[in-house]
Amino acid sequence: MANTQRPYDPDTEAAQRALVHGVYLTVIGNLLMLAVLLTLAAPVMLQVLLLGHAVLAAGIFFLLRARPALTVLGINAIDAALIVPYLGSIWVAQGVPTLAAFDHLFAPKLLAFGWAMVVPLSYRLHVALIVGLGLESLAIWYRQTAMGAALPATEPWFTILTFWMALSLLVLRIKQRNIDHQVVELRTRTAVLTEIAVLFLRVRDLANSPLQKITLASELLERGQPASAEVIAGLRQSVVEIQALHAQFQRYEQFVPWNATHLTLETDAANPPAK
Amino acid sequence: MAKRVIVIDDDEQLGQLICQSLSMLGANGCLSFPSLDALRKSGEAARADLAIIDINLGAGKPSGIDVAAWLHELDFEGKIVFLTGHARNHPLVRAACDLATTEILQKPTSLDTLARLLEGDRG
Repeated sequence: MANTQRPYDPDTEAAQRALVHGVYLTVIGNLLMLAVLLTLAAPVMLQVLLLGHAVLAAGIFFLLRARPALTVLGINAIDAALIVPYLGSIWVAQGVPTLAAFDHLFAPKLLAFGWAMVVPLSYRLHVALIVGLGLESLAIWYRQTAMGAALPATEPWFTILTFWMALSLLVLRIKQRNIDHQVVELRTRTAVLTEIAVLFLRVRDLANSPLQKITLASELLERGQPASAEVIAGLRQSVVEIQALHAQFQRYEQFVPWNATHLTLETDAANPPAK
Repeated sequence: MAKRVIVIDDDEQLGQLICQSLSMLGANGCLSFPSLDALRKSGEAARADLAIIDINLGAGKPSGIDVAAWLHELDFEGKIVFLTGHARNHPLVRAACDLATTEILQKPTSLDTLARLLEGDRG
C-alpha cells in the first residue's frame, strides 16, 4: 500500500503555523484599520482593499484548518497572498487627503520588521518583499515631499536605516535557523552513534562467555585432553548462545536499505591478505 | 607448591571448564562457584591461593568487585584475578582497576595465560 502521508518536515510545519498567525494578524489588523477609515470617511476603494484582504485571509484560515498537504510552492504562494496586498493598500492610503495627518512611513517600517521576524519557508520571498516595501516607502517619501507634506527631517534616512536593519534581522534569523538545524542534526547523529556503540558492546559482552568456552575447550582438545562431558556441554552451549545472538539481530534486517556498500561485509580475519 | 584455585563465574559451565583447564595445568584443586553467596556458604575462600573472578555475575546480584571486597575482609592472602569481556571504560572494569593488587584479564583468555597465573609467584 502506498504511503499517502506527507513526511514530517519541521520547517514546513512551522511555516504553516506561522501562516495561521499571519492570518489572525491580517484579519484583526485590517478590520481595525477599516473601523478607523470608516470614521474618517476614507475612499471606498481603500475600504474595499482592506476588506477584500481580510476576507482573503479568512479564506486562507479555513483552508489551513483542513491541514492540507501543502507543497513548498503552495506555502510560499499563501505567504505572498497575505503580504503583497499591503503594498497596494499602503500606496493607496498615502494618496488620500483625509489621511494626510498619518505618518505613511510608520506602517511600512512596522511591516518590514514583522516580515523579518517571522522566519519564512522561502527567505528570498521575504527579502524581495522587504526590498519592495522599502522602495515603495522611498517613493511615498518622494511623493509626500513633492506634495508639501511635513515629514520629519530624519527622513528618508531613518526609513532606509530601518529597512536595512529589517533585512539584517531576517538574514540573522535565517543563519540562526541553519545553525539550529546543524546542531539538531549533530546531536541526533551523536545520540544514534552512542546507541549503536552500546548495542555493539552489549553484543560483544554476550559473545564473550561462549567464545571463552570455545577457546578453552578447543585448547584442551588440542593438548590431548579427552572430550569430557563438560567440554562437550560447554561447546554445545556456546553454539546455542551464539545462535541466540544471531536470532536477536534478525529484527534489525528490515531497517537496512541494501546497496552496493552494504553487500560486502567481510572482516580481515575472514579473508586474510595473501602472504 | 601447586596452587589451590577458586573460580567465581555465573556461567557454571565456563567455571567448570576453567577448573578443568587449571587442573590439567597442575593446580592443586579447583572449585567453581556461581555467586558470592555460594562462595560464602562453601567456606573454601580462606584456603585458596588464587581467585579468578568474573566481574559481572548477573544483573541485580553482587558483582566480582563485591566478591573481591569480601575476600579482602577475610584478609585473603592469595592473588585475585578478574576475568571480563567488558570494555575497559565500563564502570565495573574501572572499579576493578582501582583495586590494588588485582589483575584484569580480557575474555577470551587462553590456557597459556591460565598457566602463567598458576606459575605466578613460584620460585
